[in-house]
Amino acid sequence: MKVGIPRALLYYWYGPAWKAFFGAAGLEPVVSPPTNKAIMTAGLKAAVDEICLPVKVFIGHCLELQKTCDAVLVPRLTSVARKEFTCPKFMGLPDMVRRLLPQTPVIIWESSGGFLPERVWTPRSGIIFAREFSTPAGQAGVARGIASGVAHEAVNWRGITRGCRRAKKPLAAARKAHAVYTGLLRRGYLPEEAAAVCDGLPDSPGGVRQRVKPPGTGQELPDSGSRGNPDKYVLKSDRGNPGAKPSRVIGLVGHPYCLYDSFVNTGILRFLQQEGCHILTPEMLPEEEIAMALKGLPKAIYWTMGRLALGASRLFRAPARGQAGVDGLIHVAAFACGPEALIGELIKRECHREIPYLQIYLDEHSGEAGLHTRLEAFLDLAGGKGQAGCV
Amino acid sequence: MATGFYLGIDVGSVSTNLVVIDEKGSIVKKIYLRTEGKPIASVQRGLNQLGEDFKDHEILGAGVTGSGRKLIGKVIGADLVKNEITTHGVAALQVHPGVKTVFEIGGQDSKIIIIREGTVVDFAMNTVCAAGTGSFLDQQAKRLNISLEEFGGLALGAKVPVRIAGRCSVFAESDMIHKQQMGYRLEDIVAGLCEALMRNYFNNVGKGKEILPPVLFQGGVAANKGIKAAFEKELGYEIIIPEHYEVMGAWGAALLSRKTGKKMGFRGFSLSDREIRVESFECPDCPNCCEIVTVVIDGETIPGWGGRCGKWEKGVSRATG
Repeated sequence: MKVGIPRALLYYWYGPAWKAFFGAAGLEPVVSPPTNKAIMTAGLKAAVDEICLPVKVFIGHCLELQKTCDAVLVPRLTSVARKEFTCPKFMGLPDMVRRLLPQTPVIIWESSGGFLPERVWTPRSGIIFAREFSTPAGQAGVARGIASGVAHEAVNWRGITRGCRRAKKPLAAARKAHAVYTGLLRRGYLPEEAAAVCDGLPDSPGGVRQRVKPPGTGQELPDSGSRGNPDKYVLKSDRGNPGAKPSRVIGLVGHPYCLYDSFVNTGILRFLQQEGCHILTPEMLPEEEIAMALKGLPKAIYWTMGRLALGASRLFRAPARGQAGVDGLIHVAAFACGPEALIGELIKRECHREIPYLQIYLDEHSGEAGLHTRLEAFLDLAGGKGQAGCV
Repeated sequence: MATGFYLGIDVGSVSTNLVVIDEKGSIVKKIYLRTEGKPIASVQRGLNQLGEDFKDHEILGAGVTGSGRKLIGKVIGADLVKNEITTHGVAALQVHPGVKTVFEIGGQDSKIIIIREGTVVDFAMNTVCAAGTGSFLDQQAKRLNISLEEFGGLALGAKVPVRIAGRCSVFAESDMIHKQQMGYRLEDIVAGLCEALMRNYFNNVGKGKEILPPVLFQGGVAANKGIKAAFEKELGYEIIIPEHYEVMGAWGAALLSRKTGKKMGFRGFSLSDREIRVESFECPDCPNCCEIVTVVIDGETIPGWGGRCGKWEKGVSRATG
């Protein structure tokens, strides 16, 4: 049975874990292709108007997956850390998708306070929860349900609850993949590259069980050059020209799906890399240091992604001893995002007159020309005194 | 030895400006043309005019800026293709080395550039909204049936500027019609529009920026006395409109090309006589369906652009069919 995993929203954090989970549960995970025009257009057409672009893109991915998959995974990650939340839109995600995909069962990955599924709700028609896959009985029920068109009554409820204890194997696989993935991100890999490495792990679907060794086949990180402590924040250098000294180090903050979906952000990362910049993102920073950087806030930020963005921007702005700072900071946000409007303002105030700062709002008609004008001018700013202004 | 000159071209949405500067950096000749949606044709026209004066002189460098910079840069073989924020900043510093703030309002975008001690330290540019730009005035002037030139002068004659919602040009229009129907004087309405544009500029582009004098106001809209007055009223001090306010971007590009001193891809003024054709097509190779543009000069194809994958920039020729 094919389970579709949309390459959107928090896929950029948990994609490899989901993939490993379904693989270990004996199913075939299928990740949708990187966002393209067709996917985006489909999402824009189908989604409600008021929602932000990344959610519309997510829906586009679901629509794409339903063509080839037996079920589509829709995470309901209301919270992934204690006393913190992701986004109210994420809460409604399964319901929005369910309405749009009446023919395809939706697997909900439900969690609270962690990315692993924790709760199992009473199943309703057409919804399958991730845990049901952990038992053969659950799987058989799901398969039957899918075969009969509507999923749910067919699934054995007792099978599910018993399965909670038996979900160990797929959950362990998910945990392991997640650890490797986040480790790679921290070492400076971009999600795409890190996910590719995770796919090659011996534990991945169909692989042989082995001890995980640090991956290193042609993907070895180049030396970070002359800046700072190379072991702290690893600076990914221009791949086309390894060893070349980076012209600038640019810190990017924002929600992962804004930073890493190169179609949605019209290739900001690619543009910066072509200009010879090193890129640092919140995912590359150690959680403890982000927490340290946020000490002294009058009130804790309870939006996980916003908290990371602010913490990362503080670290970039005033790096701890022995670490590389950045020449400029870019905040990438979705236009309709409420929390980001607030966080963006906080970051802007803190950066004011300290380091060059640029805020980019993504919307469905982001023309590359306007964006590139801003980025180019920003790089002139970040390129050091004297380059931008003096004749 | 004959002195050399540098060429700067600013290809904007509304106007195309060409500037020739001497080695000292001062403007020798400037041309201001309407783009009218045909950037290549307007640049050709401009080059044709310049060619009459400068065909015997050497052009040592050419810089291009503006929203059409990529296209025109390829067509003329520019030495430097620079974003308009940097070029405007550079030109402002040339005029007034002590400048601290630059307002630039053009046809479809507006910018603010913050300069401290001769260096650009911050900037902002309008996002997707054109309500604080020249095209907003253009539209409203058309609606009122007055020319843009009259517009500014009329605003100065206002006694009580009418408050018009400037947040959005669509709302501004309905607000304005309403005020007309209520019987307000034309002068007051026009002045109200100028203030609406000014408010929008400060709310949208100038938000959170530290605006300090001296302020330079440049771009096509700087010709509008009403807008200048509205800005001065709000800021409480005089703002400076440089002599060459309308071609500052082109000037900055020329100045930068002088600085880079790179020789020398410029195809020459004779470009105006050559046949330049632009071809665009949708790349069929992946679901992104990028629109690819290529330029053909007298049958010779220049590598295309517009793709997300970058293969067209490398000079892949189009598969026939």
